[in-house]
Amino acid sequence: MNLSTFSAILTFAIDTEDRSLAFLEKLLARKDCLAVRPALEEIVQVKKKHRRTLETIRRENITEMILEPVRNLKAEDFPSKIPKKEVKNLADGIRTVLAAEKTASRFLLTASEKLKLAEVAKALKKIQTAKEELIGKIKKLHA
Amino acid sequence: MALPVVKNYVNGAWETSKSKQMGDVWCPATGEKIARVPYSTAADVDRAVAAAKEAFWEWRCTPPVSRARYLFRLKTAFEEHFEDIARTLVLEQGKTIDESRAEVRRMIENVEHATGVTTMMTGYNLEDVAKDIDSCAERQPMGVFACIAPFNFPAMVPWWFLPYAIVAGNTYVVKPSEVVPMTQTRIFEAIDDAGLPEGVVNMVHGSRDVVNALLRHPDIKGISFVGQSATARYIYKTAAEEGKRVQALGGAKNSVVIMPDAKLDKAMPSIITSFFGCAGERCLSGSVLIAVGDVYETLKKKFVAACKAIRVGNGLEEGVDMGPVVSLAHKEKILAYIDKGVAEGAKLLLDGRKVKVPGCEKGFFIGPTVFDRVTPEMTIAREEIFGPVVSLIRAKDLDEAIAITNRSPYGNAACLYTASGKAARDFKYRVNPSMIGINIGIAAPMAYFPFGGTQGSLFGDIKGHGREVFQFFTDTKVVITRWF
Repeated sequence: MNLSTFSAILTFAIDTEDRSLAFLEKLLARKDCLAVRPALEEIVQVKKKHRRTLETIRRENITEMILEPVRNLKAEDFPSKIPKKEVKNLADGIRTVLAAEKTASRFLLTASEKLKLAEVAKALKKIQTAKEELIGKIKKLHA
Repeated sequence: MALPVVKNYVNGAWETSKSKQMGDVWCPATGEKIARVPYSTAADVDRAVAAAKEAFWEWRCTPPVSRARYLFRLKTAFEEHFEDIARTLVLEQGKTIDESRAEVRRMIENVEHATGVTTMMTGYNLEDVAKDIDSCAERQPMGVFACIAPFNFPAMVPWWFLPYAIVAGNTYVVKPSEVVPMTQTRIFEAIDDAGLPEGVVNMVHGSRDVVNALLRHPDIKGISFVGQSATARYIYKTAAEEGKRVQALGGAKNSVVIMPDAKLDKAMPSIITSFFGCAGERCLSGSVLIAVGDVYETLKKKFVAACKAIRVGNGLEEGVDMGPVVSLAHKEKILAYIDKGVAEGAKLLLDGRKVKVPGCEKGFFIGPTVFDRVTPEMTIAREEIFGPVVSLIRAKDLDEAIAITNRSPYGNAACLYTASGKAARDFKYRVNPSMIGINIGIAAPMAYFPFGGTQGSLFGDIKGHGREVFQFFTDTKVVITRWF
């Protein structure tokens, strides 16, 4: 699907957050996650904040000036890494979260370059930078 | 299953109109009926105006800063219901979810701007206009005002006026378009939650009878209208005859002029949005595309290619670039214009008449339509089509492009794409329309600037929103004082 509008781009970013948040919640419900629970909960809180920011950007930064179509940004280039079935073990789960965050980070970086409004681009880049920090933390868990 | 019937909102409560006459509300994307709207009666209008009149004095005596606080509450309520309002708007109007969100945002921006009442409503004074005599001019609210709204921006347009009217101390009656009554109803549900004093804002649904009852009502001090020019002229004439203040914003036939030095690749998304945003159903849409000099061939090629990339579909799907037009009747009117263009000898470069949208076969869709070899005399170059139809005209130079622009009896908006500051200045200096875009395709003034055109696009003196709108909603009382 072509992500050719401002809302389509922001909605894709929000949906991506929602999917990985739902996955993380499932992971937190597992009995074998006790040792990493505080770290995962922290990641959830950060991601919820990202989601709220994305939703605010979609609601508040839309103006007629930026209703111009965006070209060459496709959802297929950022496929979801979240499996439909439950993962076998915690390590697989953390690996999945890591992959999902990497894709989300790559998407936000690309989107920030496509959207012309400086304020929006800056906000997306900020979330992307925060995601890179999250990725570092998840890597430590994975190790 | 019975369709829901929208209700009037009078004196802080929902009311069912006693009218036996009803209209249908359609989803333009699916072509299905989704609700019914009462064609309310003069008695319904009387009740709403009486409630507004009753509420006036207490509201007028409420300090402006307290009235502004109610607007902050409204803003919070609208932010909370933002997505619901935007989706309701898409459902009944057809525009894309992006366009709807942008419209709701503009509506909220007017609420935000109106909170500046304590600065914008102030008067002025001068000591010693004569020996020991001082004089001051105060702005006072006047009573009940009303808005008659169009179908193309059902959320935003009433809010070009309402927040300023009420924050200035007046009370208000809104008549939404009978084609799209659900959006404003959803907005009034949010207002109901926000706890505005009863009677300060009221809403009456309906058609011609409601309009005439508002225009003739002796207790209404002023009318704000947005719609077609013929209706705007009627509203202006009738309401003025009744001694009311009137601001009646009419139709448009906007030129978009492309100079040979325009940065076409950068500008193309904006040019496309100008013509096809909101399916061309806005008074700021480009309608006539004027290619100056040798840009003609390149422009034609790039413009048509960009038009072909437009994704037409149900506005509720993210990523759709253009939704359907608002109604079957309006679709037929646009199709008749396309037929006329063909009959008068224009060449169809892109024909949107046969566009198909899978899953929405009964929807009121028209694809991007581009005519070439249009002359300024042709009907499609002169009359307001209010749809996704473009007339491409060639001009030898900027002078001719300005002359073509100024031939229109309308005077709403005009846009120029150029890299030349000199050309830009010449253009904005000489064209008649009063909303000008330079390398901008939709010259939409923000809430803090006045919105409205000139000539056949505006009947009245004071435009929508901006600072000036406070003049419309207040009487300037001059007090001359001497103390012995």
